[in-house]
Amino acid sequence: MSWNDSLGDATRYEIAQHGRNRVALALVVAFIPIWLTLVHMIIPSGPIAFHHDVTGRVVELDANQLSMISGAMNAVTLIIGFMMFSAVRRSSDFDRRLVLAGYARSALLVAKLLALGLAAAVVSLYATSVLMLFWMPELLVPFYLSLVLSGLTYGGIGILLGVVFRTELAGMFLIIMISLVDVMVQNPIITPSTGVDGFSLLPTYGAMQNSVGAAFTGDLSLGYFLLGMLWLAGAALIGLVAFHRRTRDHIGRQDPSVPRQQPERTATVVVSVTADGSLRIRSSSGPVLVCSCATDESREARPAVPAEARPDVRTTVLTTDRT
Amino acid sequence: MNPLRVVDLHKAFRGRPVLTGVEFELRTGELFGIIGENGAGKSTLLRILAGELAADRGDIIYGGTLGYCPQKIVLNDELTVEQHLRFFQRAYRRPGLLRAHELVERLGFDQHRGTRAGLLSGGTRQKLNLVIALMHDPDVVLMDEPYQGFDWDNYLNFWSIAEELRDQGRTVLIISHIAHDIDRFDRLRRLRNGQLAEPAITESTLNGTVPATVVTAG
Repeated sequence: MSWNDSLGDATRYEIAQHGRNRVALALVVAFIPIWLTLVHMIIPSGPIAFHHDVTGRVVELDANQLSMISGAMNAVTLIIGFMMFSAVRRSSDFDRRLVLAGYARSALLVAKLLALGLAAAVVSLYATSVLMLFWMPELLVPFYLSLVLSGLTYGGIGILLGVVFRTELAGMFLIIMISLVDVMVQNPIITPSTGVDGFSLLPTYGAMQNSVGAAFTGDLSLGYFLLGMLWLAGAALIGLVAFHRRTRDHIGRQDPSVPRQQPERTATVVVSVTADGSLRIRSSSGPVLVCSCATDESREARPAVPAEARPDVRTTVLTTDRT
Repeated sequence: MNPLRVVDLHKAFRGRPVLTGVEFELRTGELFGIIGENGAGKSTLLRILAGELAADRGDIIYGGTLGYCPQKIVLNDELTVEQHLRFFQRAYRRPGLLRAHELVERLGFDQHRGTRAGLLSGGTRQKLNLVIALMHDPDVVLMDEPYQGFDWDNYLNFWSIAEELRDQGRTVLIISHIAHDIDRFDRLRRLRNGQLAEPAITESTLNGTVPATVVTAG
């Protein structure tokens, strides 16, 4: 049974888990079209200035279409963030049990990332398809990839929140707030002063800039795409390190299915004679067994004799202090 | 070699000592019980033995494979019973699921193999929790109140499995607070003040409300 088999199983079950997340599925199926239709109906068409940092120019865009991009990105980030948060939080204890039982931790981690990639790809495809019912972005594939990127970014944030927060409410609230603030403030309808310093620090900044370029101007930037990947890498890395720490096996089994043998141990001890003539033994490494023979009148310590071989010997563990 | 030996184990939470020098060893083919009041540190001890928690100090020497049934049921609600078994088959690197299916049948939830864990009753979830701990036929089984939610028949069923394991040379450590269990153990220790004490206790010191009788064990 190889690592690949473990990865295959873990990925299948991760996808099954996402597939059974009914709240997320309902959000995907219903929220995306409803939200985009509402935005389309409510936000009036008309020119609006947008700071397109990819080209360094202020471009005039249609406010309705720009808001639909924000809406699509908002929906994708919320849904993917929620899916990953929910999956990581719910399976946290289970994953730890699996790892303690011997499951390859790296296979579980990679499976989560693969499932994230698939979820982001599918949800973004659906969101792009719905948006296409209203209007057609100029460069379809880059536009789609920008949405995928925003989903991946929030998947990373979801993993991080899922590891850190134990309650569903706290994590969900944070994902909603982060996504709202992030996506909405980049929309010039809400923040006319887009283009000011600091916007580039927002999680979907790169994805938004590229999606606007793909939808309207045809100007794209690999650097802005990588910005989003950086967010994914940063958030996922912190989350995965936390996951790694949480699933640590404190007894250090390499392979729990193989009997653990008692390691050869060397004790480092200091023997000193106290004022009353008794011996004081202190170990700075490893436990010490001091065997005193009940039938031996000399009370001589015989540490070299295994206790098991001498039924008349009383065995005492003196100390395991480590200095 | 003993299947498990614990030497001078210490653990404190935020400066509050819970274990203050726990020492014991398990023998091959025995049912070993640990009892103690709520908050005595029984589950902490077992979590350390299972590798879930790190001890502050002390040594644990293992002489065989481990099975661990945690007090809190740890399952994935989205996966079916069979998917749980397959997942852990991979974790334990077992060639098949013969033993797992035998245990499932024995505990009477064979008909739920295709059911998602989230839809199972509390008792059946606990059965699955237990099967996961036993399905790889470990040398040492650590169980923390493993029969919570069981009805009387399943409670007896559990003990017949535990005794069978013992008779097959496995070592079974059970944390219990049920007075009925006490005479089932080959040896019994009580966790008090962070240490394992000799077993001469009365049932009135347990959580149960059974009239006090002196217990002898060991």
